[in-house]
Amino acid sequence: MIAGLGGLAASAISFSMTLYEAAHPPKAPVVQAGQQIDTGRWFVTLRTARVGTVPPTGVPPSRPVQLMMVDLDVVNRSATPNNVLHRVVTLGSPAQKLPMPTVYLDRDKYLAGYFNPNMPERLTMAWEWPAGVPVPDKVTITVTGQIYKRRDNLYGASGWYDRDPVATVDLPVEKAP
Amino acid sequence: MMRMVRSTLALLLAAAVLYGMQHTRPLYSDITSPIVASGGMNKRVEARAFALSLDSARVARVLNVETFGKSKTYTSSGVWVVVEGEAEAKFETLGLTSGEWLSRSGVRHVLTDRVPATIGMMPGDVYQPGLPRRVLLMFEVPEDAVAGGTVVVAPTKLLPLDDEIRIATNVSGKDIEPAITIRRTEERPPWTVLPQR
Repeated sequence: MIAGLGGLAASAISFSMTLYEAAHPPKAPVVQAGQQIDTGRWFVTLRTARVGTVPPTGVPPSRPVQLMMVDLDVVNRSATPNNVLHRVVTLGSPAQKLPMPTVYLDRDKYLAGYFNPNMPERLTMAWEWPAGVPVPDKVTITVTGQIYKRRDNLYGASGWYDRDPVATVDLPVEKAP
Repeated sequence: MMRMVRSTLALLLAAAVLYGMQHTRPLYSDITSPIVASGGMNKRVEARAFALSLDSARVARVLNVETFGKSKTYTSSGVWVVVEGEAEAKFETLGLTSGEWLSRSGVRHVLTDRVPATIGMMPGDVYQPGLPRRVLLMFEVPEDAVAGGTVVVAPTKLLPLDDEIRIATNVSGKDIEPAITIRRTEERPPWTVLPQR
């Protein structure tokens, strides 16, 4: 009886907390371009944004698309290689959901794979911009934080978990010919 | 009244025991960690399903890759480690898809995915029982992660309690060549590491 009531109370509290958090999203600080952002797992420095039709490989895609390309520097600060940057760096606008960005390594002008720990790299993330949506003069990039849990709540396994945004960066969009 | 006190005490005790167990028992990743066989360079190290020996580990600042008449230079913010050796499956055909450079401080670096697949690195090959085959592993690591590094090889990274071989390399981190060239050849093994030494 007591356990049932306790469970009920716990789920009610957790549900209302979720509702409250959804209604009051935490405000992330606005950070200037070129300033290093500490997300927990990564150091991210956003540089510039531009829109164009040719990805950094120099080979235009077979079907012409507009690409929103953002240049940034990253350092993986964790102890294992990782490549899940698209959850850390997200494009705020437009309102509709964009497909997953492609990440290019500046060194090779080619697709990036894993980022090894403590190895700074410059890269370009390219989002396919939806046709028919006007390209804005500036985009807002949201950088999400991550925390390390030595024991997660389900298995007791160690891992990195997404947290609230730690910063937003406004980047003016250069329009390449 | 007495019964309530007793059940409260029992509940608190149970919570304390569970808390204690949560913080003293091994981590999930330790319980399901691979079964490790370790060794040194130039020695055949045997795991349950495969064996591996490494005979060369070289460090360079720049990696040149020549394959099918094309040459590309790979720079790095750290250095390149090129490791060669021999692998053999023991009972059944298998792939060796996971290779890592474990630095002395415990940081892991994965096999590079920048080099084209036409250079037959270890994960691209199939290992048959009784037919030892040369293996090539290339890592990109920061300079301070070279000295005392260990090569970790496993058939897969995903299966818990699977085989894993760890070979401690003998690289000092001092002897860094300016550049190493990996050239694809039509012989066995299908690559040469230049300059030869």
